[in-house]
Amino acid sequence: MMPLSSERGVFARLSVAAIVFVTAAMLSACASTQVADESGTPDPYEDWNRKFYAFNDALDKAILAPAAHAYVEVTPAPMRRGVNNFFDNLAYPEVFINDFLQGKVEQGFEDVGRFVINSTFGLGGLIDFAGGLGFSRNNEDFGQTFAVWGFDAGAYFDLPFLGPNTARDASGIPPGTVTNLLFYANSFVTFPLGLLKIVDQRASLDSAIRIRDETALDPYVFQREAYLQRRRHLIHDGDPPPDDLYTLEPIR
Amino acid sequence: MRKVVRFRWFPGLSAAALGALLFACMLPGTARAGSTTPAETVDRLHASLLEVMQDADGLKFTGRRERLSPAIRASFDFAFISRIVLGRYWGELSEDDRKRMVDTFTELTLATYASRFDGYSGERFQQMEITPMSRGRMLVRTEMVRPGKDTVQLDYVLQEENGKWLIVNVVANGVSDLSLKRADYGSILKSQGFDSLIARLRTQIAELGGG
Repeated sequence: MMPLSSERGVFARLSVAAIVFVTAAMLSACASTQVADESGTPDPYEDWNRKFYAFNDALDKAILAPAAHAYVEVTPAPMRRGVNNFFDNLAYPEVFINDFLQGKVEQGFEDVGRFVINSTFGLGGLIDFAGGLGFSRNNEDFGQTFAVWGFDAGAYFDLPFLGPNTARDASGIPPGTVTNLLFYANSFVTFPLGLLKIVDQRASLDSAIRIRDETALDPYVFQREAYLQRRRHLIHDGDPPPDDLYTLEPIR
Repeated sequence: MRKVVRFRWFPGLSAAALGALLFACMLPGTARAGSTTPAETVDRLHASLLEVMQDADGLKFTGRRERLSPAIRASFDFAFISRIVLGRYWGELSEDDRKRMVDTFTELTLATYASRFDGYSGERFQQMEITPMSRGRMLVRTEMVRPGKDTVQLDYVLQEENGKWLIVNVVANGVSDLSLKRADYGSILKSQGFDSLIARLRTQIAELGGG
């Protein structure tokens, strides 16, 4: 494992985290007056969001996409898989914490098991050893938990550097950050690892972004809709009430 | 009460069953002229997708599109889909423009499938469950299993038309194709109008063929 900062540093960071968490929860509660639903999509900040979308897209085309493509070019697939597993594992505490917060106790214990097995036998997460033993990789985060707790999605935001979000999902970013073990690493490692993580994430998003660029007439709208639907799918753990999600009636 | 018809595929059985299914679909006499069930419609689409994937290199884009064309035309309700995708704009269109939209959308779907399913690396499709929906529609949940990659969850919404079950929406990993297109096309219709939408879809079809 990576060197951890001093104990005092950890406590300082945790108290910052607690403050951020509470603020975020309050923000989420306030934001819930504006509901973004799938059909009408009230997107009250569309003008700003489009500006940030253009900014992110330019940044992606200039730096991130070329970096990710070069990364895919020079590293063999098994190595990329390892890197991907490693970052997934560092972020996995967020998954099991949110299992428990959503009351999925059994899945929570399984995910703790998955994390422990991969951190040890899986060589610090490089190998998805637990996956081979039948522990599936689950997708949970604080944004999903807030949804399960009954908070509305709030307005849609396309945030600079961070991309698509709702007020609810954005409130999940601070607690998500502090439950990622990368946050507690020595800053000498955090920076290069953080860069690698960004490149790794961009590489895994590559096919989705290619589909967007190939098929979207209005890429901003396309990305917004895809994001909102994907999130709803994850909140329902891939099994949403069919009539709720696949409504086909003409709108307005 | 929602009645759920569930038939799980057991690992040992699935390979044999899929083989039998593929074989059945390739037999010339199996495409019955009469009625179909939702599961049959989805299976037939998947079987023809697998067929062109395995033959992808020899067929090239045009060959794949031609090969997929009968199965896709027989599986989707393009008239209904076009109406939903255009939303309130559908009502403002002339009969000719509506036909233009349905034709263009059919071509776009063919080109998209022919361009996406351009190779085979051990993928297989499996049906997970069939769930009744409101308004007499059926939801067929399936998975595309890809060796070494994440499984893609593919859900199909079907409705019955003259004894045939036709696909009216495809939902991939929770993202509904119909809703995406409705939002995306709606934005173009609002800002640039119908002719511009058709022109851009035509460009897209040409690009899919060239790319």
